[in-house]
Amino acid sequence: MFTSLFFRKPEIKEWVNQCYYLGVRSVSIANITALFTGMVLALQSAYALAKFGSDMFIADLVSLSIVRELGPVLTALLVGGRVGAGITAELGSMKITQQIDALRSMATNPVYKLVVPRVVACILTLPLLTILADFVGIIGGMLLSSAELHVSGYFYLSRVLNALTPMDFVSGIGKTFFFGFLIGIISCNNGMQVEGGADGVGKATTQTVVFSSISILISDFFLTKIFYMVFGA
Amino acid sequence: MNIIECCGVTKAFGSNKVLQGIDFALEKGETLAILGGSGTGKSVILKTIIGLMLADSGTILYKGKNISNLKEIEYFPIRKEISYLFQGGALFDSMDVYENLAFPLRQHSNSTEAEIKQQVETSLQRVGMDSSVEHLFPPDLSGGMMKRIALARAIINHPEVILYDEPTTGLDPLTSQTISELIIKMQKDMNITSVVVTHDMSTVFKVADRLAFLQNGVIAFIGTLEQAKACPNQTLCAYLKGGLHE
Repeated sequence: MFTSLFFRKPEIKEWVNQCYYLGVRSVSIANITALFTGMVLALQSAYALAKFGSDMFIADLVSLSIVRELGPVLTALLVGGRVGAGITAELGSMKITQQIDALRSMATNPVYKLVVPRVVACILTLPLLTILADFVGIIGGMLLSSAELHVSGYFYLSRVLNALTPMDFVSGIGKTFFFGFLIGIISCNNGMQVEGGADGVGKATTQTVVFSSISILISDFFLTKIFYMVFGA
Repeated sequence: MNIIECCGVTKAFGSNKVLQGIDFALEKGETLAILGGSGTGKSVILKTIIGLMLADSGTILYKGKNISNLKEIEYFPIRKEISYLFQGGALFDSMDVYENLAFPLRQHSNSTEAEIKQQVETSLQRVGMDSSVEHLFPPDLSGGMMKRIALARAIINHPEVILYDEPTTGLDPLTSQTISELIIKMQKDMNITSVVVTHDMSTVFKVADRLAFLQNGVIAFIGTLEQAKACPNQTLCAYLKGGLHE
């Protein structure tokens, strides 16, 4: 795959198509998840922080949690489920209907034609979706804080700007490139390996959702650990 | 000179020895029909020729050059000269008919869009279709249309050899006859060498110059149709009688 990626002329049109199908069409699912995550986080933390008289830190807690962890991980899990399952089902169907063999028989490398554009699209779109989700999640926390806790929007946003540092974004967004790569590789590999008929496609699709979710959660821990080791808390 | 030659080709899937020493040779412009029951390895022979499956042992020669067990990328120049017509057509679901036909040209030629359009139209005409089907997607096509469009895609790059995998299976008798006539037309018009894998005797009688009968992993008979009729092999006789009664 790496040979295909670096030593051949990229098929930009196909990359753009895949970015649209995998990225743009995932905007709503990523935003809805982020909005309600921000809101519930604000709600939960309001009650917990109120016990210590620290409810003014709601914005700090919501923004840091979302930007460092919840935004990247939840977006990756949701998009991984939606996009990963879609890729595996599509490539699996192509495999069992001999379309991948047809590509090979026409002297075309299926990895270059099918895998590279999808993996690249996952790597490029997941960080962008996460940036959007971070923003929407913080706004969700603000809406809840304003409506339920009577915290002014201005105060909330000033606390957010005060709490977040560029390294929080680097830590959060940086991980999503790797998550995107994992989702792309796992889903394409499972799709290309499908054997049998519709049953095989179903099993591979399930396997993709499970493997990509577990891989995201495990790699999140190690990437966070490495980040703290390299850059400090 | 033989264009394709298989010598002692074997292939097993686990303990199932599908091919146990396949030997045949094919001259340029000739049409060889490979006949045999379901699951006897007819399609496996085609796939080993073009490298979609690798033979366990034996030699496959194409224009005198050994092409057995090459690396995937080494098969690419050969696959530009040998086309494969898949049993189900294997048209790309995500592309309409035009894009399916244009695909090999976009991959392997520097043709302009106008030249591609011209070649697509010519190819469709060769299989008796017109440009009205260009914007249909594979799920909108009937079985016969799908086979004809797959054939149009197979010939668009002017191959020297076409490997037909069950070209008439699952089609009604009239459509089968149309496909058989197209195979003959390709051979006559473009001097294409053909290997037709089938268990449909009417196709064999229409298109084949020679017949190879695959039984128990080996070619039990190879020769002309007249020679086949005199062959003592009872299973082959049964096939021929079944075909002759059609």
